[in-house]
Amino acid sequence: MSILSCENLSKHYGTVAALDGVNLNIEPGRIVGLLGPNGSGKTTLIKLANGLLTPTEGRILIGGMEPGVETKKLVSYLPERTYLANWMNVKQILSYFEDFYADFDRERAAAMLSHLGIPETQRIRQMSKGTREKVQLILVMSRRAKLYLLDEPIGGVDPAARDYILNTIIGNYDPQAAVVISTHLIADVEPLLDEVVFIQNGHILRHTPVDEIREQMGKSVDALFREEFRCF
Amino acid sequence: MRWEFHDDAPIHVQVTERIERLIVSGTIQPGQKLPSVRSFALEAGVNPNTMQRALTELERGGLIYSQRTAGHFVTGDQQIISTVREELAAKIIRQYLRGMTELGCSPEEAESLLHRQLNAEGGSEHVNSEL
Amino acid sequence: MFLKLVKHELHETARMLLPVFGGLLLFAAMARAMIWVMEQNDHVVLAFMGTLFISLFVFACIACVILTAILMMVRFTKSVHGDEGYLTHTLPVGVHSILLSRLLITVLSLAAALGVTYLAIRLCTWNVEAMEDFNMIFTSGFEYLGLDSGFLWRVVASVFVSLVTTVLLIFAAISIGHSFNRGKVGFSILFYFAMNTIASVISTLLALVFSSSFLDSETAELSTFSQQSFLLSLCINLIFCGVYYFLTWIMTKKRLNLS
Repeated sequence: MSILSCENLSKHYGTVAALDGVNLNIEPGRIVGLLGPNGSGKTTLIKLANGLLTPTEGRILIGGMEPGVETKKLVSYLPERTYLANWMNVKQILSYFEDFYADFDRERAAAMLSHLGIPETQRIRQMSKGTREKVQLILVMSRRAKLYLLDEPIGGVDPAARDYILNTIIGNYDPQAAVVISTHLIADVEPLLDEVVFIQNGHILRHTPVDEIREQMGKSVDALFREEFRCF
Repeated sequence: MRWEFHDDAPIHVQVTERIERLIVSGTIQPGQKLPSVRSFALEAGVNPNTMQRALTELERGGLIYSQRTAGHFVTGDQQIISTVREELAAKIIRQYLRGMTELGCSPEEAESLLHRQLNAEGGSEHVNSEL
Repeated sequence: MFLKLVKHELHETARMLLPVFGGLLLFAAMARAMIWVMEQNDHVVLAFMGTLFISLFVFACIACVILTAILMMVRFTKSVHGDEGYLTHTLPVGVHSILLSRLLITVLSLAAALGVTYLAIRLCTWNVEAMEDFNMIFTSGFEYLGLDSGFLWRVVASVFVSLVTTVLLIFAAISIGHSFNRGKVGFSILFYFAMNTIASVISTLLALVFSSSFLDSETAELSTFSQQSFLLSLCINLIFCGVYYFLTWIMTKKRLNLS
């Protein structure tokens, strides 16, 4: 059974359609790149999957259920924004996640944080932007979730942080879970991906295994993306 | 350190070839245990599924073998290793010849130019490292 | 899960409010000391300083309650409709739990602010001769003013219910205001005043209908009037509570618009 499935999913903001009749299935064990230019509907799709938005039409199912308390137990979400309260220190944040998420592996998170040299007494407000993003990713990847939704995890970080983030995603890979990575920095994530979903103006243009693109078209996903989105 | 990939071939094919090179060059010794799929994937910076696929292909070719719980090992069979080395060498030679043809050199010319280069570098200490 | 939310809210709120409450009590103690100094010495500068200080204290008492209200509003806005909302709304908890935990802690905080202000006033006027009459109100209760204890309880209940109503009105206004893409705070304030006006008009009309019908009846008696009008305002407020809560819930569940 698909861990994430969209059936004729649409989301309109007023007269603007952010998503328009999307059909999509994501299977467990796959790392999927959700690729598209800014404003193509990537974030809208991820927000719908998290129940932060309600569909205008159609439906989105997580493990066969509409977004709600039960699906939130299955989904680990990394938003684009820093969502941690400034005043909290690392220890408080770990306790918070441990309190609310039954699948949170505190020891794993603590090990990754200490590996980065971040003391548990450090507050969010004392951290650089890059460190905050790493902390947030560590929290998200330390859950033993069924579906990871990572919205622009490598947007706006330096190359060293990017490698760290990508390694953290690989290092926590779980064959029972699916990972969806939304990004416009395709070349960086391409070696990680099993499949790509190209999205534009709220439509799915393509949902293909990466190997197929390279084998049948003889080009990288990045090159194909540049080609298909050239006019825009 | 992440591995670099070019655009022309699927990642798993490139990973497979990269590991073949590590083995035939002796960087990974015959009989040596390979890292686990996850840590090998981390080292390469690729999806663990891709690494698994590459290892399965290498196993099919006999260059490595897996023991149910212990993981993957390089074969001790020198015969297989030299066959793979020759295949990889043939591939590089084909590339060389293709490049020479593009320059308008005949195969004979390509051969004599190769000899001349080899002789020129023969006196040098750095032959091996240059290659 | 509800209790975990309450625990976390309590922790965060205490972190914000304890310094405020502590500051006010410290201020009260200082004001009491100032009064003592004024009682001992009769000097015009001292008297001026003391009066100024005590005026400031009165101001601080009001500020404490207002500051508490503002901090709680900001907390609600940030954690439900701001960036922290990304975490709040992806926790495996229902919208009702999120809203009710905020409501509970906000009402408790405001009640605590009122309680601390009361304590501060008592502390400041403790054993001050000039304030004896004032203190008598507290020591001998409402009988001193010729009112029965039932009245006291009605006052407490009214204050509590209006507190809940006001908090829910603010939550509703913030939730509606933040469903807009721009001018979220502006729309929140606008909706607060709009809904407040509508609510006042409705309750005034109901009060008019009630009092005219009551005065028309033969058995009109002042004490029953007070009791019945209390019950009426309680009912009206409870209905408003329900409406505001529903608005907050539907806006948060269906029209959440995190930027």
